[in-house]
Parts: sequence; C-alpha cells; structure tokens
Amino acid sequence: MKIFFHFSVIGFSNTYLIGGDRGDAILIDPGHMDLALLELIESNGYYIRHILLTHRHPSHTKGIGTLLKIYDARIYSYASFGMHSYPIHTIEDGQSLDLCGLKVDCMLVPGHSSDSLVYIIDRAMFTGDVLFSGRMGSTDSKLSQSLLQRSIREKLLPLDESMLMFPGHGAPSTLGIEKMFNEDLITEIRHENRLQT
Amino acid sequence: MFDFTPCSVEHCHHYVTTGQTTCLFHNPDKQAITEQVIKMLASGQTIGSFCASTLEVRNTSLRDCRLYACNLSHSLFVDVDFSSSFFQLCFLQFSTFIRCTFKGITSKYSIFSGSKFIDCDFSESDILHSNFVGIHAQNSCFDDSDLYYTDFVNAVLEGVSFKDCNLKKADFYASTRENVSFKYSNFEEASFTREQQL
Repeated sequence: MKIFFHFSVIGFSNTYLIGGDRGDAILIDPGHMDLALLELIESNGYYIRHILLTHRHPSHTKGIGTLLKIYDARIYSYASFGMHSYPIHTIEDGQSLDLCGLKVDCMLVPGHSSDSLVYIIDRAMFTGDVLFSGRMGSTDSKLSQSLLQRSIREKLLPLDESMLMFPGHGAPSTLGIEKMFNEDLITEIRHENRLQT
Repeated sequence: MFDFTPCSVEHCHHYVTTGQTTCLFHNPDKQAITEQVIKMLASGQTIGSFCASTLEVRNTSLRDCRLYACNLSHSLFVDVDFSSSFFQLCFLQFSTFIRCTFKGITSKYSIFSGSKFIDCDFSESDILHSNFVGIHAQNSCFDDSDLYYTDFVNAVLEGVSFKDCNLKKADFYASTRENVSFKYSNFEEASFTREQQL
C-alpha cells in the first residue's frame, strides 16, 4: 500500500491517495480538486476507483464533482443525507470493504458530525475530523463533545498503539503518541480510569 | 511504507530493520548494519520505505538526505548535520538529537513527537504539517522558518527561539515555554489555547 498526501488550500484539509492493485487507487476526502492533485494521481499511474468520505463537511467533499468528470469512481459514505447530487454507496458501522485489493474497515465515530467514519487500511487509520495530532475534533455542543469522547474511548482507544493516524487536517501521528501527548485524550483516559476504580 | 514486522526478539516493540529479522538494537551484527545504514543515508540518494529504528549516529554529515516514509524512531543522533535534507512522512519519534543541524530542511507530514532536541538548529526551514507534539527542546532555534500547521502540543520548550517564523495554524496548546521568543513571528495566528482552535 502506498499513501500520498495532498493538501487543499481551499479548505485547509488533507486528501489521501491510497495506491492499491494494478494502478487502481482510493481517494479519501477530496476537499478540492486541483491540478496538483490530478498530477499526483496521474504521475503515479493511478486511476481513482473509489472515493471514501470521512464525513459530509464541504472542506472534505467539495472536490467530488470535478473528480467524477475525470474518473468513474464509486463514492462511499455513512449516509447520503440527500446532500449530494451523485450516488453514494452507504456504509454501515463495522462494515469491511475490499477495495483495490485492500481491506478497508469502517467505524462510525460520531461527535464531530453524526456521520463521521474512521477508515482503517492495514496499519493506517484515516480519522477525518474525529481526532487530530494533539487534539480531538471540534464539536458544536456539550452533547456532541460528550458523544465524541465516548466514541473515541470505545472505538479508537482499544486499537493497537502502533496504528498510524492520518487526520483530515494537520500532521499525521500514531495512536500511541496521541495517548501520551494529546491533552484531550489524556483527560478522557484519566476520566475513564476514575470511573473504573 | 516501511515494513511493520515486529522485531523477532520477544517483548521488543520495535520494527525490524529493513532486510533484517530484528531491530537494529537486537541485531547481532549491529555495528556493521549501522555502518551500512549510515553510508546509505549519507550517499545523498533518495531513500523510501526504509526502517532503521534504534539507530545511533555520531559526528556524521547527512546533508541533502531525501527520505520518504522512513522510520528512524527511537534513535540517537549526536553532532549530525541534516542541513538541506528532505523528510516526507518520516517517523523520527522518541529520538534524541544533540547538537544537530537541520538548517534549511524541508519536513512535510513527518513525526518528531516525544523527541529530545538539545542545541539543535532548525533555522531557515520549511517544517509543514509536522508533528512535534510532546518534544523536549533546549537551546534550539527555529528562526526564519515556516512552521505552517505544525504541532507543538504538550511540548517542553526551554530557550527555544521562533523568531521571524510563519506560525499560521501552529499549535502550542499545553506547551511549557521558558525563555522562548516569538519575536517578529505571526504568533497571533498560532494556537495557544483551545478557544483559539474553534
């Protein structure tokens, strides 16, 4: 598996190109389609077969329209919400997909948005806006914050600490590093430990 | 991406050195392999998907290194010159850097988390989308650098200079700062509290 980064200056978001079998590739969160992204795809000899959306926010999805004019790709998301003019293949929590010869595990981790998905491909975890290097995703209410904390605690913290983390914004990390230095996660782990004792 | 095969020694959590069955620390030929790795790094060639965690390098010039998706975590670098090198998706977490020069480097999407930097120079560098979460830096310099979207959350910074830097979207939340200068830098565009993030 090869992972390539593309940074969108429009939404300040990360798009990930995952190279699979025989020139086929997966694109995660195409926030903006520009020549640089196209060149990244084409210069590496890839054809985008699948587009995975971590959530519906425009900074992660706005490039889809242009992408579909170039590639005949299937789009995957937790729910369509009727917000897109293109067909969405909806994913269920816990579903596994086989895309471009790669196993993609999908986990619903709501809080930042109700449809936030984390994708795990091999040793890499694509967290969208759920978890970033050094902080948790933003929320718009105490309830959402609580939901996000619980989702991360139940779904992400039990994973292998060596799991590489590729967020929707900012620098990559590993789960182990986040458990040690992410202040939001540390607070959450302490809270969980207190509840258990 | 480098091989994620764990070291064959029981309870060792490091990954194997590329082409070997153990990590460098547990390799019976540690000295010879280390020399080979250093020679490769010093050759100036582009190196991708290589793992050599627990490496020890002293008094060496590794100028103009070009590393892609390499793992040099948990390593020790003393008096090493990395000037003008390029790091993309490299993993250098929990390493120790003493009197190392990173002048003029480009670092993109690389991880230096939990590392220790003593008397290091990162001046005139482009350090973008990189992870310096939890580092401990003493008497080090990032002057005249672009630190766009680079994280220093929970970092301990003592005598560190960030003069005339681009700090847009840099994150210093929960960092401990003593004798740190942000003179001439756009620190108002960096985050120091959680409210600034929203």
